[in-house]
Amino acid sequence: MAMNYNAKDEVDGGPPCAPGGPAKTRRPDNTAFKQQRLPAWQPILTAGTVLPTFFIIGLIFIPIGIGIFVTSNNIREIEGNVFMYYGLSNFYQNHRRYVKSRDDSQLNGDSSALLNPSKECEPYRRNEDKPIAPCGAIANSMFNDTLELFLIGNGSYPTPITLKKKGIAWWTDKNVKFRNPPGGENLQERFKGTTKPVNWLKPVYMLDSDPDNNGFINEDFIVWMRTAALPTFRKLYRLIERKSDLHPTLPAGRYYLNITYNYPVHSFDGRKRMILSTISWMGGKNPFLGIAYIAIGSISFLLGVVLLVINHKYRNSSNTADITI
Amino acid sequence: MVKNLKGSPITLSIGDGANDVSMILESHVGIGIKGKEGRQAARNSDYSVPKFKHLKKLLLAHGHLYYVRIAHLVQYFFYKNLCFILPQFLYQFFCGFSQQPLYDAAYLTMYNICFTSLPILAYSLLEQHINIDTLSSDPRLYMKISGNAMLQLAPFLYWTFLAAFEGVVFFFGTYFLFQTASLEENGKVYGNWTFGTIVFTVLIFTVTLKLALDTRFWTWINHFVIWGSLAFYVFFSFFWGGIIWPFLKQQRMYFVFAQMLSSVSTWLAIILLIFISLFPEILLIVLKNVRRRSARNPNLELPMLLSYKHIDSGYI
Repeated sequence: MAMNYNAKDEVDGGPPCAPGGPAKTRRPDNTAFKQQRLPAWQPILTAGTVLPTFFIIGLIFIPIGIGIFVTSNNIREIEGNVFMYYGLSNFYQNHRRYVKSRDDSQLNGDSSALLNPSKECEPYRRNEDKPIAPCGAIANSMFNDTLELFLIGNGSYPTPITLKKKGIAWWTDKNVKFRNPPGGENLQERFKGTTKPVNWLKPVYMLDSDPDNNGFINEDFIVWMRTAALPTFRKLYRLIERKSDLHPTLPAGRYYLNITYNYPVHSFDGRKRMILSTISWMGGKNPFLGIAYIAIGSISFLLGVVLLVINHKYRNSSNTADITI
Repeated sequence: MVKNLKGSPITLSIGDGANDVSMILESHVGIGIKGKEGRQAARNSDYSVPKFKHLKKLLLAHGHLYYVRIAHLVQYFFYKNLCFILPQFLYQFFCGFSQQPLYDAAYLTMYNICFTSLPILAYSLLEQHINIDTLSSDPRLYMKISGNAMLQLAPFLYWTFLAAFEGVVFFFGTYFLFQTASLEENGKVYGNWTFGTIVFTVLIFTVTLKLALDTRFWTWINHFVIWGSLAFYVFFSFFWGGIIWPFLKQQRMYFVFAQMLSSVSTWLAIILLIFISLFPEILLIVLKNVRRRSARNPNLELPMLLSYKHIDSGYI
């Protein structure tokens, strides 16, 4: 199917041009780009060049995998910092309506957003004719159980383990993203005109006596506001800092966990857990990464061997009479 | 007459005289030669050349290259979108089917145009899987694309399988990575946006490196757009999560990318998942090259494209 043809578009010698007029030509430019003459590197991907990849990958991945696996499985005396997490199951913090139910401007300390929260927070936007601070379903459903740990010594009174409540949230969350509204000294003053979320026992300016951990910058609150990816998740609750190098952080013995139960999960078939974990350079215990590296490295190496054998056999048995110089 | 044959073949005709005009018009592609018999044939054609000798390069080189480029472009577009959307689809099983997106809105918007379009564009304009001189000198090579070889069901299924496999690897790889309390040295916990960003990072690198593996003719433009697209993704991610944006209602991506990269486990997982995803491709390259050992001309290193026909048995 020929396209429309225009006599003016002829390239080589069309009808004689009007005297004095320039000859129009549609000839493409004689550049390397337009004439497909760009210099280029052409890789030759033969078995010979690609096979070594498998061996190299195998030789790199397997040691990495072993390293990760050993680190993950290392059962050692609890000497470093110990991290206490609470875990929830069947709790969909990643539900679309839930995830968007927040007002980041309000949480950033914006005064107008404080008193006029975003519509995304509905139906947790206003209560008793006052704006809710912090608004939204995420804030409203904040985890509010209290966990305390005690070491039961021999015969004596159980000693409480010091649980550090700061240093659990992302630094940028604590210092940039979440800011208390501006104002005078008194935090309660700054939240004047707002009301607490419906499900909370205490208002936001009474979350902690430490002014650096009160209001929107309370770290338990910040940790909760970072919506979890999956319906079974863990959130960092407290840190148990290690003592001097001579003593293990949590010596062997019997412990007593005291739970102040405020958070009901039965209605949606949820579960609550407490997890104590040591953390290494790779994070918490995670056999997946180590096993995956070892597996892939081994498969790769094995395939390299197999393909080398096949390649060798094929090369020897093929017809070599036509080899030109 | 040929057009009405069984299978309705695509037809191409070449002619140089006025009596060839009706043939040129009737076929799907018409080539006209401006010759002694005037310009009638050229005027009615899709492509015209001034001399008969130009036909050789037009068909054997440009025709062949054009087909390979277009076929690859089509397959690549479906492929890169399938492995983009599949993780998001799989996520629905874990977020109560609430349509919660896995990736941030900026990533969703920019994936096709900003992060993955320039590399395939450069490929479509410049790729010479076999260089022009070789194609012109060995006419048999033209038969390798006969019968629309690169767009048949078999290659399409392969691309689809590859995309599905990769989408599953991206998502479940990250899912299993998250089965631990923390991925950082300080015990802190990641959320859903970090999860999505890890998947997206693996995705971008995998589809771009897949194209790099497919490219056989590396001009400076190919280097620029492939490595440049990856660099752009990284810079954009830092930039997007770098400040509290005044015009945005939510700040969900604030510092997410940088925080994600501060975890050694995440780095290791990203590298591993990219490699697993590209593994079938690398395996195929080696297998195809091993199989073709019995070539007549061992000095001629021909790349074995997907579903390239074997013509080692001689002229057809």
